[in-house]
Amino acid sequence: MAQRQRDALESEVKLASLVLGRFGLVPGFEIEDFVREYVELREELIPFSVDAVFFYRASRNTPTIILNSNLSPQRRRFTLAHEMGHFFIPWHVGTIICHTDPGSHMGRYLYKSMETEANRFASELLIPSEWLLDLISKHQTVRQISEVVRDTGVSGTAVNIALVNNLPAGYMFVQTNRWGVVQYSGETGSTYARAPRNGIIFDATVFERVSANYELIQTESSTTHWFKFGRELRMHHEEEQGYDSKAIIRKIVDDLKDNAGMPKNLLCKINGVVGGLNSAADCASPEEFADALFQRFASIEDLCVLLSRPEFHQFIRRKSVELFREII
Amino acid sequence: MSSKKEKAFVDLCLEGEALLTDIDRYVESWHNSKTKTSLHDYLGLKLDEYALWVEKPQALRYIISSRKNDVPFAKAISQMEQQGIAARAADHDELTEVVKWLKGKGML
Repeated sequence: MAQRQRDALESEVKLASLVLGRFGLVPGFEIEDFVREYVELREELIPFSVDAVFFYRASRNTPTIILNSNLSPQRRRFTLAHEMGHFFIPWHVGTIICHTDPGSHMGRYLYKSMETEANRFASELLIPSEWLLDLISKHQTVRQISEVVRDTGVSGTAVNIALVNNLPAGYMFVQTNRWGVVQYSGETGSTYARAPRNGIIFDATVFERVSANYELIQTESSTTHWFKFGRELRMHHEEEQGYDSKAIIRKIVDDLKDNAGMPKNLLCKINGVVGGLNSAADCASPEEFADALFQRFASIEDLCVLLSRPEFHQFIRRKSVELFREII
Repeated sequence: MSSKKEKAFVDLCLEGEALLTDIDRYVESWHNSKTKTSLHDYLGLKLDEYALWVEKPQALRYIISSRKNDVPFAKAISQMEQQGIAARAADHDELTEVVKWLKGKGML
């Protein structure tokens, strides 16, 4: 990895990378043997919803990890890597009651910060970014990469989080439970789509409609939807000449004004999305800007329904052409 | 001497470029060098921090934690002295229950 890229990494990620190199660890290594070399490991059925407890016993220099014995093999592996994060990260102190689930970090800032750092350490230790980037360069689909990584014994969630941190711009994942409720989600940097929030029931069809590629990965306990954005749009003849975007959107808003499901300030909200993206997005062509708008509208819970109307697609295309004409 | 070596050990730890156990190598490297820098400066420790580390090696983690979190040294050290009790959890109730459970098991 180039020095400049390495400098940009968080310290705990660099530490994990240092540990991998120093101890010659490769993906899929025997983590329990590694842990036992440095730490006293005990397994107990902890009668609370915690994954592990990390602490130093008085009169001993070696720390102790009490691991909850009811963890799945994948969660157990990640938890052990997380606990080794507390051991190797030089500023982690005291007794730490751990939850490796990224959504459960409540409480005080210092606790939250230590748990997040230990998770980042664990992710790098189990799924080194250099190795993952090499896999990304050699495989065509997210499914292929995901399968190779999961074969090293990590959970689908850990794979998804590592992938979203390493794939290039334009990717989004949504992991749902067996009831279709969002558990985890995220998008790669500089992606216009916004991942749905946890706890809602996810409908993939809206994003599927505006993505260039869609993959569904199912495991025993969850389903992951992966979207790759960046469609190559072609503008139709009518976008180049005639039709005014304002007239198109006014007609849509008029048609929907009695629809109970639509927000009252619909026109204002639509214009806000267009204006916001126009200020922030760095698009080279009307096609690229239209694609960015499609991604963003698909991400807004009370506006995504507009994408089921062909005339709204026409509005987006026409608006994009007008905005670029103004620039020229 | 490489630019990495020019940085003090504590700074390298904070940047993720050194492990705590590397301190021994840094002390050795100081002994082998012709530097006029004192050992505590070479390691990036203040004199009182250095004195404590010599007495109690486990203090190093607390010294680095005090730097990282901008906590006064004395406060960090008082945490070290109540090691088992200075626990962190998602919330106060969880903390109380887990610490009670650990004590019941004779582990704290």
